[in-house]
Amino acid sequence: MKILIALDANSYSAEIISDVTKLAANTWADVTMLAVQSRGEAECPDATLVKALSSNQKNFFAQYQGGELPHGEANPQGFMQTTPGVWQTSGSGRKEFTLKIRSGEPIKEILAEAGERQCDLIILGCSKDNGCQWDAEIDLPQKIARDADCSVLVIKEGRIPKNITCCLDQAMVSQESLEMVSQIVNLHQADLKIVGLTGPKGLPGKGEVEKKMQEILHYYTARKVTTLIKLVDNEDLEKFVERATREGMIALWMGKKSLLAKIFSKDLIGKLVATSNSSALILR
Amino acid sequence: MIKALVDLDENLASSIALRYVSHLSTLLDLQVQIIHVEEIDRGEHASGSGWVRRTWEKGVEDAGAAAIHRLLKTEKVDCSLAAVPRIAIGSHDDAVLEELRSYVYDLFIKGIVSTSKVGDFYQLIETKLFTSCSCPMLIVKNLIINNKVVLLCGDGVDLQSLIPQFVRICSGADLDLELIYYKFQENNELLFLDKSEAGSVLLEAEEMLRAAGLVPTSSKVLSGSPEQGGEYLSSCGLAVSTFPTRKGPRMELLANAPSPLLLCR
Repeated sequence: MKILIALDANSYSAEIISDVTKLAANTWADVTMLAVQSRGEAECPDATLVKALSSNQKNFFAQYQGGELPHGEANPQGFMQTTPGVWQTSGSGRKEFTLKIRSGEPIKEILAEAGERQCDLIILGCSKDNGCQWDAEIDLPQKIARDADCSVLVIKEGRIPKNITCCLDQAMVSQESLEMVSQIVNLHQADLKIVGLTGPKGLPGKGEVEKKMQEILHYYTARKVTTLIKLVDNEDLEKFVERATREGMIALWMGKKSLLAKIFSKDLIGKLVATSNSSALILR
Repeated sequence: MIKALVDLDENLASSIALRYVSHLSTLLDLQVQIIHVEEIDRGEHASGSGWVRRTWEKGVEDAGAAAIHRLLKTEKVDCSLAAVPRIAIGSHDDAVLEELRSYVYDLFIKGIVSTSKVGDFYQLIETKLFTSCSCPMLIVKNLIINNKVVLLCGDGVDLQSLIPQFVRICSGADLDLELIYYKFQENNELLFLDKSEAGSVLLEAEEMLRAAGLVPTSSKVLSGSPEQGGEYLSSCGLAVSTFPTRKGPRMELLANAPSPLLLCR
C-alpha cells in the first residue's frame, strides 16, 4: 500500500499525523509526505515547508518506539533536487518514507504525485471553518477528493468520528477497501454501518445486494467489529448520506465500476466533503 | 427453559438471526426449533394428486431442507437445536402460525434487514404473522452482541403486560438493564430529561422489576426525533417493548432502532 500525505504548514495538517502514523504502522504502507510551494520561488525548497515537513516527520516517528515502524527517518537537511522544482529526501527502512516538495499549483501537483507514485490513498487534513478549507486554495480538499484516481481520506480538524457509515458498492467490493475501512474503524474505535443500495436504475437485485452484504458482515464480524447494516433505496440515498454526514464519517465507494459513481455526480463528492460533520473517505 | 421458534430462510436476515440466537443462548436457557417455509406460487403447484403430488411436495421439502442445511453449515452456529428443522410448504404466515399454535412456543424469532423506508417496518408489523402471533416476538435487525437491554415504556406500553413477559424470558440472565421513557420532540440533538417527565411510569416499572428480582442500572427520559432515539439504541443488544398497535412515536422509534427488538403481547 502507498500513502500520500498532502501537508501544508497549518495546524490542521499537523493534527492528522497521529492518525496517519497508526494507519501506516498497521498497513506497513510506503509513505510520502508532500508539500507544494508556488512555482515562482523554485530555486530551492521553501524553508517554511521544510520546517513543517520536518516537524510532522518528528511527530510521525515520536508516536512509536524505535524499531516498531518499518520506516526510517529522512534527513530534513538533505533535500535533493530530482527534477526542476521537485526536491525530496528519503529514509532507509523496510518500507519507503519520503519527504517531498513540489513546485506549482497545489491541486495539480498533489494529483500528479499520487498518479506518478501510483498511490492507493491520499490523506489530507482541513480546517473546520466554513466546511473544509485549505489556506493556499480554499476548496483544495474537495477538489482532491473529487478528481483523484485513488482513494482519498479528508480528516477534519478536531473532529473524531464516533461512527462510520460506509456506502459500499455492491457489485464489486475490493479487499483493500474493506481493509481500509477496518483500519479507520479501529483507529477511532468507531461504530460501523454498512449501507447497501437497492432500487431500480441499473442497481443489482435485492438478493444480490444482500448476498454481498452478508459477505461484508462476515468479514467484519470475524474481526470483532460490530457492524450495523441497512438497505437504502436509491431514491433516498442523497438524503440518507446528508444525514449520515451530520452524525459521523462517511465512506463512499466510487470505483470506476461503481454504481455509486453513476448516482453521485462529481460535484456532489465535493459537497459531501465540505458539508460532512467529520472526516470523509472516498474509496476508489 | 424458553421454547423458541426461529423462522429461517437462506438469506442475510436469517444469517443475522441465527448468529444472534447463538449469542442469546449464552444468556438464556433456550430450546431452539427452526422452521422454514417454502412458499409456492400458484403456478408452481403440482397439478396432479396422490403419488404425483406427494413426490412434488417431497422435492420442494428437500430443497427447503437443503437450503437450511447450507445456512447452518455456513453460519456454524454454536447453540443446541431442538430437533431437525421443520420444513413447511404453502403460505408462510399460515404455516408459521400453525407451528406456533400446535407446539406452544414462548418466543418467536425472525431476522429482518433494516431499510431506509419506515413503511417497510409498518408493513412487517401489520402482517398476519405478527398481528396473530400470541407469544413475544423477537425481530433481529442487526447482530449486536452485548448484554445491554433497554425496556421502552410510555406511549401506550402496558407495564402489566411488558414486565411479566420480559421477566419470564430473561430472568436469570446477566443483563445490563436500562429503562427508557421516550418523548417525541424535534430537537437538534437527543436530550435526557428529568425522570419526573415520565410521571409515575418509570417508578412503577422499576418497582415491578425489583419485585421480580431485576434491578435496572438506570432510568431515563429521552426526548428527540425517532431517528435520534433509534441512534441511541444502536449500542443496545436488545430493546424491549410491547407490540405497537398503532402508528405513533413509539412505532417510529422501533422502526428506526437498529437493535434487535423484543415485542411482548
